[in-house]
Amino acid sequence: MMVFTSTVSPDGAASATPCDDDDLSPLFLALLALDLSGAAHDLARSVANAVAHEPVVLSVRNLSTLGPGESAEIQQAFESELKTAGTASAEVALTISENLTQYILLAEIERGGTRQVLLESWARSAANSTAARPDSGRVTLEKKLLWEQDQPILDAVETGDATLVLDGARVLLVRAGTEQSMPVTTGQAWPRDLRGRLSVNGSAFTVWLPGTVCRGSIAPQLTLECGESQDAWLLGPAAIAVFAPARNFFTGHIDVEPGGARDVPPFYSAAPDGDAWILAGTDGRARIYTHAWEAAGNIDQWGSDIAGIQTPCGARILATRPTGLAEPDAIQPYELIGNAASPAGPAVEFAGPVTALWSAGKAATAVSRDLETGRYAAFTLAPACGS
Amino acid sequence: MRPLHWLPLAVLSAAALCGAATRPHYGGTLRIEMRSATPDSGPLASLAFETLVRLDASGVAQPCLAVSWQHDTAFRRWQFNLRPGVRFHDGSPLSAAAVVASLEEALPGMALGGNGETVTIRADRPVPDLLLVLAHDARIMGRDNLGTGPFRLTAFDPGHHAAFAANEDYWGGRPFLDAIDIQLGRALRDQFADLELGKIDVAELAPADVRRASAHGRAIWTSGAVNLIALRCAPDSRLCEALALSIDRAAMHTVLLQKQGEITAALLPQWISGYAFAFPTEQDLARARSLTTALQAAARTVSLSYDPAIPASRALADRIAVNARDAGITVQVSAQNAQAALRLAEIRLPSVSPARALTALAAALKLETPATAFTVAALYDAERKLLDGDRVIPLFYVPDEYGAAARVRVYAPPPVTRAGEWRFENVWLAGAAP
Repeated sequence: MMVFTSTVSPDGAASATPCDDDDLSPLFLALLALDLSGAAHDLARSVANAVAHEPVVLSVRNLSTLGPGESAEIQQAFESELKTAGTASAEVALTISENLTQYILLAEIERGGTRQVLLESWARSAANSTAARPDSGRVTLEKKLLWEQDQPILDAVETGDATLVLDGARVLLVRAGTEQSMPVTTGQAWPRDLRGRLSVNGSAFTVWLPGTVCRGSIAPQLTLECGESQDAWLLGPAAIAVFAPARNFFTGHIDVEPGGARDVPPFYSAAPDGDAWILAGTDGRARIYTHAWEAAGNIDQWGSDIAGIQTPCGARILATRPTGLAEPDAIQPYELIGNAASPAGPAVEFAGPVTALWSAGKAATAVSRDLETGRYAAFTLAPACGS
Repeated sequence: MRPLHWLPLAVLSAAALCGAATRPHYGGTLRIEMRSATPDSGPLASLAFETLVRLDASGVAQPCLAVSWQHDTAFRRWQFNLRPGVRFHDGSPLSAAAVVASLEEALPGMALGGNGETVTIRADRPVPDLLLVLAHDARIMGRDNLGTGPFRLTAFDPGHHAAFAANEDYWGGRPFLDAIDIQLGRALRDQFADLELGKIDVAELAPADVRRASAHGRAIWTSGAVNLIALRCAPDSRLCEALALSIDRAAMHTVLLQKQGEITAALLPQWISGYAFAFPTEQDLARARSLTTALQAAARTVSLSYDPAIPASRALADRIAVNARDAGITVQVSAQNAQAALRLAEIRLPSVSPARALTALAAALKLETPATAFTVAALYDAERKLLDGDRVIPLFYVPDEYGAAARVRVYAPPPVTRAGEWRFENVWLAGAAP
């Protein structure tokens, strides 16, 4: 497989520079697959909602240039989200297609004599992704409660019919009203203001905590193995960063594909915007970096937690407010225009401070501490275009 | 001893044959016949005019008159660096000013600027598909509408004749051919006869002639699906729906079009939209009949006009009438009847940018302007709304197809791109004298 590492044509015949798989880290290759997988899971969830989570008959055909491996991965994503056993209430014909710039997943749902078509798409390649990016527009964030508990939640991810919740002591799996948990084992004391991140890929998941990495699986049952590790944390699409082992921030050493390793001032959180990045620095200033990692500007009015998400109307940045820990916070979508951030939709209010905000691709996870009850609640923030 | 004597002769002989077979020749005139064409649009335009970028076989933008480009993260501001050393056919250099002047028509509402060898394009809203637009819809012209392409127009008699000569100073290297001579206004039947008789080198092919031309040793050059054949339907929407459901596209495609092109019920072809297959094309006579019975008897008779210049149009119109009769609708077929309620039309794909193509097709078919769409899902919705009511019934998307004589060779394929542009700078003639 060839992967293109540039979106801008250099002088001469080629507009992008191919490089071999050998040059890419396994993590980056895994992240490349997230686009396909993300689209498949998103569409599968939409289809599951459309059929009211009833059993379906699923058929898959591939009209695209994607290979059998990718096709199987897409089918697997659907089978994990949809019930295919039992008396079918609907037929779902899934077609993998493409146009000049995008791969397309199209689900035709036949249910009760009616026909519904749902689509998802993703860029065909890095070289084409520039042409595939959709437009600007207002984004409305739909806030949905995932989980609530007394202990501080570090991250939570909805995966299929299950929810995975991370706190400093355990990983909790909630599925069909039942709970399973596995302890996070570590030989060190956690730093104050503990932070942690979850990333799910199929039934496998990874947990990053300061100085600790855990790997586990949610099927057939919850498993978890933790060990001391200075492995870099997942920062965003094709990017990893070193987290200070006994602190609550990233050291500033990051590794981004394409581009390689860079050192920037320490930061709390990061958001990709196309091929640019915004890093919320520990000094309270969000810095904009170009694709060549040249500083392009600052944003001063944001809080410490930001995240980048892909919305139906383009990439947007979600940012908390620079409020204190005893005040209600809010998360607002922004659009980067030139070197300035412009509000791109209404803010979502919380009953207390936002203690975690992580990107989950096309949505984000936010954790807030309710100032009245003191409980922590994790929400997904799903974007929709338009007012 | 004998093998030692024979070996050099054998090697020499093989080398001579190899050289004769593989090295392209310079020189000669390529003789073509066409039904109609103008030098500033369609395939002929790609001989003389170029664009800032062009699409490769995978649809990825590659440098042409621009060697590099960049854009901001919002896709509103673009900058193109022009290829140095390019000259228009009158010898004047390609300049940013000329590029800006050329782009103004193709990019309405955008702010264009030129400075030295750099062109900037600014838009109020993101234009992520700008490269697709520039690759297909925005030819660069100099003074007196001259181009920079591999051939320059030397004569044009509208409807009859066009002639091109090789651009000796072409930046991409002089074409192999000395000249291209195009006879216009030639019916497909006459073109095929002239190709068979060796009077011409390249002819347009009707779908029914493709197999025959191939069997006779002609090379077949084919574009992507770029010509929409559709039925415009003016009467009662229930009649239009009944008519749409009555048509057996599959049979027509197999028999009349010899399986050339693709069956469609969408305005955009599959390779442009990626979702055309989701528009159902199946015949449903039972539903068509039930719709027809709800109509008054007088409303069940309509006239259908076809343009004889469209390949297989008479046969397609007749078959539509037969299908309609099965649904209880009487269709009277005639050629070029301005009063007809049904019209069989052929429309060329106007752009490779899905959103622009849909807007232009809607305009050409006198449909309302579709909602601006920047995602595949939004584009699908916009196209579906345009087709509600069946005022337009898409039937087929067919390619441009050509038959080429045996002496016509191609150094670097394809001679015809997916979008239907000619790349004849790589065509050469066996036996031509340099």
